[in-house]
Amino acid sequence: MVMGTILMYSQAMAAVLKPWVDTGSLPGVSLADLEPGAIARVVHIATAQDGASAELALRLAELGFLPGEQVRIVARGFLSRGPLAVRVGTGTFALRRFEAAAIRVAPEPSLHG
Amino acid sequence: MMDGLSAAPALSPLVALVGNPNCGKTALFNVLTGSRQKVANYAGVTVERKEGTFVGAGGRRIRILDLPGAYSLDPLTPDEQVTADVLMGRTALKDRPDFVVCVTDATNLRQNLRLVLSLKRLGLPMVIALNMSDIAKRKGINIDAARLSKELQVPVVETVGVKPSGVKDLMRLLDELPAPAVRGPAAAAAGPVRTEADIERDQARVRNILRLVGADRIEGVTFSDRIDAIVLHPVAGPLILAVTLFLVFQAVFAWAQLPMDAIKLGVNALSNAIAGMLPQSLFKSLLLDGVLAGIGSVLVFLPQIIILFFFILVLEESGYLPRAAFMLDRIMGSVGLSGRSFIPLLSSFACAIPGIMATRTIQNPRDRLTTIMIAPLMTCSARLPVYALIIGAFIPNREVWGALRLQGLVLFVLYLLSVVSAMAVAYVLKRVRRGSPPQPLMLELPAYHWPNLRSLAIGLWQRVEIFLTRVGTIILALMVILWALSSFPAPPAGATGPAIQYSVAGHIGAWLAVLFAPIGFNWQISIALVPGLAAREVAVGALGTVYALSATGNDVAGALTPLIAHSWSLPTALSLLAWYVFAPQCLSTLATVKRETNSWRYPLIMAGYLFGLAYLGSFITYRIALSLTG
Repeated sequence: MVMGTILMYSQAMAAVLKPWVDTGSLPGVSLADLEPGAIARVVHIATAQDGASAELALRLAELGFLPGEQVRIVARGFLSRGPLAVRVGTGTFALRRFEAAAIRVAPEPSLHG
Repeated sequence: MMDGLSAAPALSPLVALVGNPNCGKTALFNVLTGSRQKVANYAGVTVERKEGTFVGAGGRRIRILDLPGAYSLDPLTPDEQVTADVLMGRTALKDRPDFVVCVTDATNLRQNLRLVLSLKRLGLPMVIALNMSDIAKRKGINIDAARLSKELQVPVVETVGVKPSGVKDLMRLLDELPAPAVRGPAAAAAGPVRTEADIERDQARVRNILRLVGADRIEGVTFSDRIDAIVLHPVAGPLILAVTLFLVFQAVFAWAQLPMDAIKLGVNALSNAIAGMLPQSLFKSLLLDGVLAGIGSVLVFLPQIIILFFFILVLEESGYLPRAAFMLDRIMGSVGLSGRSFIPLLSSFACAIPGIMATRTIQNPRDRLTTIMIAPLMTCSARLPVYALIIGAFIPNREVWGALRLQGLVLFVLYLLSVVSAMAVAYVLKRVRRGSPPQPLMLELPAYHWPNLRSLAIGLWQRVEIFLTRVGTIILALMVILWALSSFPAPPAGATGPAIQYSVAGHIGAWLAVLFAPIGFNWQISIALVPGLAAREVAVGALGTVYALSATGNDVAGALTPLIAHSWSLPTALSLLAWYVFAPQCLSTLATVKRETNSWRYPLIMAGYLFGLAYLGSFITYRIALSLTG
């Protein structure tokens, strides 16, 4: 049963593993490019139609990365290409760069300059 | 009673606690059930269950099931799979909940309410617990609970899961639950697979509800953000992490000294008292040399194990552990793992078994397998007795660089070595399956909060219980078997050497000693490694038995340290330390791997590669130490 489950996840994950998307044509900017502290709003999650992984988009959505939600970079890892700590709504998640890159945002005027 | 057909007493309702991870569900479970908890046995099925009993005002008993945290009912991790299966009635009949308490973090409803909506669609009778309502109020989030209840058509109670007075309303509600007529409602049908559009629709509803109940404000810079500004700082963060882990290991040695001495004295006193009371006999030898010597030399390390678990629990409860995982993600990523592997691996420092079981939260099967394979390389607390014994006997306890102690430093190096070797093995596994693209991390960083004393105490007790059960059962049994092996047959008349040399154990040790001679182990160590197969710490007890029996005097517990300091060479001691960095022998770990992977393949590979590494590591250490000490 466990191996069956693992098999199920490997198939699910195989979808995540597809080579990354050409993000040039997507709306907004990549969340991964946002400055720490800057506030933005999610406008789009790269989906299967964008050539991204359906699994990744669904998982991000389940965590609350949905169009209309407010996001902010809380921290960046100490090494280059390290993960990002992202506030979405009232929750905070650590995302790797490629995950954050699937989230397209529109920057909003910051409350704190 | 109710109908003439059934004489059985009324069924007691089964209540399931469901909620997002980090919603304070376990603290709530702890305050509801107190010490009346049953944690899933490692020997049981794959599903890890936490069940407790809530006793109502009139003495009525209600079973409470603490389900693993889930973000949604469309499972992506084995943990979430369990939760979804239980809620949809796809498990054993006795596990079908009659009632669901959906625990929500009142400060994070924007995220938590989506699960509430999904649960509601299942149609099980439920109540919403607005948990951490005290923190929400302090933050100025005043949720209109009545309005929330009206919008969702579900009862809502406010709870403060960290104190008994905070769950009164929930307790009253549970106490008034009707007894179910039959066990378990019909299995809820699994709905069609959800898409992003479905989730967006739910979130639109959530936004609307938040506006209506007055909880739609998003705080700017939170208290946790201010801590994170320091703790996750690119320079300060890793420094804080390194200092924290280092202090933990120093504390494990410094604080444990006093209680350890007390336990040693107690065992000695008991042993002397018994020695004075009983006449010389086989039974006396069994009691003193087998049971007391063996158990005493393992029990003495209980304080260290408690202290290590205490720190892991505090770091976990406070919210720091996921931050550590965040900071280490890049390094872990370079060997093909993710930060998610950090928590199972850190748990493995206490014991590989809960560590391996914690890998269920890793979504990617390959990451999970790699984490399982390297988990036994983390220095589990069962190895501490061995390390402590050898370090105590061979490393002078002097101060270096001011405040640090050399013994603590050596221990730290051993831990470091285990981490480095684990990373190396992970890297090799990554090369074996090269071409694998990046894996998602998606790890929640919950708001910081003070660790809850009740949860700490319960968590610590559960771990102490596991350790003591092991001491009382498997370790005790092995001690007696080893004593018998070491006592029979008795030496022939006129024999000059110590009695054990003529026994069965002496002969096994002599054979093994040939195999282990190139790495510097004498026959006493070789014998001790055999019962060490069952549990690593048994090796210390076994050494105690071997030496107590081969020594001429009546020294039992506590005398081991000067004994080995006197009779082993430094290269031998270092070689044994190196052996224990890899220590392939732990049958319970291998059994857990077998169960978690449902295959003999991985435990066999694991045992093989650990044995190879241990032999190689010891060989190199022994040869280098020999050439350096001349």
